[in-house]
Amino acid sequence: MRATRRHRPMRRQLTGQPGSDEYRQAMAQRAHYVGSVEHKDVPSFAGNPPRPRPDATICDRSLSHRQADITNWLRHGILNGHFGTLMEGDFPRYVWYQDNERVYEGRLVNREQGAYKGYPLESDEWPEGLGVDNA
Amino acid sequence: MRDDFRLSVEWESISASEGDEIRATWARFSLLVGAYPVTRVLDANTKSYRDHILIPLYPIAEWLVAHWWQLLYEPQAPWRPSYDRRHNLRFGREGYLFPDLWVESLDDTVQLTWRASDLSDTVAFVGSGSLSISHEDVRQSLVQWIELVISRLEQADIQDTFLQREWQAIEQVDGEEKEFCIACARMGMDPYQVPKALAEQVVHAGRHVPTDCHLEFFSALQLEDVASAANDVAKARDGLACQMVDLSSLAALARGKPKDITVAGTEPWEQGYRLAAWLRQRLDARSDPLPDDAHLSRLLSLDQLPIHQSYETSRHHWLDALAECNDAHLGGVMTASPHPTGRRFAFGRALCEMLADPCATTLVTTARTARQKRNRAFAAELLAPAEWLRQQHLDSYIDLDALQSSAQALGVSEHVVSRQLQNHHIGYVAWDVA
Repeated sequence: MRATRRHRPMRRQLTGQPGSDEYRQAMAQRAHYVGSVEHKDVPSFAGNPPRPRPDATICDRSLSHRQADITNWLRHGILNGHFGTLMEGDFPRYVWYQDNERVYEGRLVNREQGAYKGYPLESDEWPEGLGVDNA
Repeated sequence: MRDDFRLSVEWESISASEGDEIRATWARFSLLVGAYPVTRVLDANTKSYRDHILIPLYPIAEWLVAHWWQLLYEPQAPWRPSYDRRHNLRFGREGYLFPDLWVESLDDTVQLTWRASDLSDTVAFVGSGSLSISHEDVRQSLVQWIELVISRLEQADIQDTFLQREWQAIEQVDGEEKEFCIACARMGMDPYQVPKALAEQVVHAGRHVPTDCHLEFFSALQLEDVASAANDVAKARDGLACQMVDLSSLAALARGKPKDITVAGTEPWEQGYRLAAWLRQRLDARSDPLPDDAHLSRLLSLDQLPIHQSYETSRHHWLDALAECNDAHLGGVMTASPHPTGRRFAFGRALCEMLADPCATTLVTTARTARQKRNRAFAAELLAPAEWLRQQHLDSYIDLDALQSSAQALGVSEHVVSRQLQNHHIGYVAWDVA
């Protein structure tokens, strides 16, 4: 028996080393939310017409024109260190934002531009270690 | 693709979708387990059933690769932290719908279990079920699934994704490293995230615990106990070495058992019940109680039961007994249980191993592997035979006095009697009914 020398990051667990404030601020400034039309059933910032896929979770319609707010949630998650260890380019693959009893997962879709889409998580899908305080 | 676990993929071109690997792997996807499509949904929009879902396959394929070793080698251990996240494919969905489908290893087989769920307001997965499929068949089907997605990525000129890198690394693992990966997986660990110091302890244990015992050893442990558990095994073996007794009567029984008594493909507890029934019949014990060591040793033509006391050093209890039997048929059983009924039950479990699968060293543990399920069932049926319980004409709901009385007459714990009553559909104890 021989131990492997490979190590890899956990994909969907809060990073234990979120880096300095400056590091997170620089990352957050570039990250932005673009969404994806397959999760929309009404016209939205993600595109018009919407192209909802029956087997994709559909976004809350009240968020359809709140791209700036959702981008702020994304950046808030990064600034709070609520992102995973798996990095793709300069950005984490996953970022999490908690709004009371609901947690959203931001998923990187363009590593050069720092563009994300997102979706709500079931409670048993929340990443381990995600706290309640998200103020 | 194997008949019992079949994947059907029709690639779709979905241009308006974010993420290169997501966009490239959209597909009409259906998954059959046996004859049942676990991807069958009731679509409220169309008011009809369909057996496929339309999703990108990259997220699930990546999840399969990220959990590859634990998926195929961790035994059933739902009490372990995050067990569901390693064994339920739904946790790889990334915002798309996917059925609740558990993949759980039972050594030579894999149990696939699915259940109805509704993750959206308009689409619900219907149907629940479970099926055991050969381990190799499941492994090959998962390999084909992963390679199908990788091939699709390559066609779209997408390289260097997490999926592709990790799969290449898994494919390149050699025999010695594979042993380590499997050992870690049996403890519920991702081998690529084990700290160096603990990895060294795993390797040390692997080199000093008999290879035949590795499956049972690692399956019962938590990572932090591996060093102390290896020490427990060494101490137990050393302790037995100077207390070996003649077990040739047991060896003769093992040689005389029917070849098909533990047939692969049947449930492990069925194998245990069959072996116990055969032994009782072979020794003309009918369904008579064996309430103490003297009765049991007489039945087995032993001067006394070869049970000795051992002591665990691990923080978490994991070892119920260790049995040794050498080529000269000298051996014995070490058990950590201090109570007479517990000791006898542990011996019964070790006896199952000595009869069913004679090895130099055998571990009887707290794990839920196929072997441990078999030996638990064997010991229960040997010491608390279902037929004897039926003959007591107990009520369907058994009160605690009757339970205690039966346990005393049989020389077993009340828990063993309760499980026998339930598993053989004889009755239920008042405390089992909420």
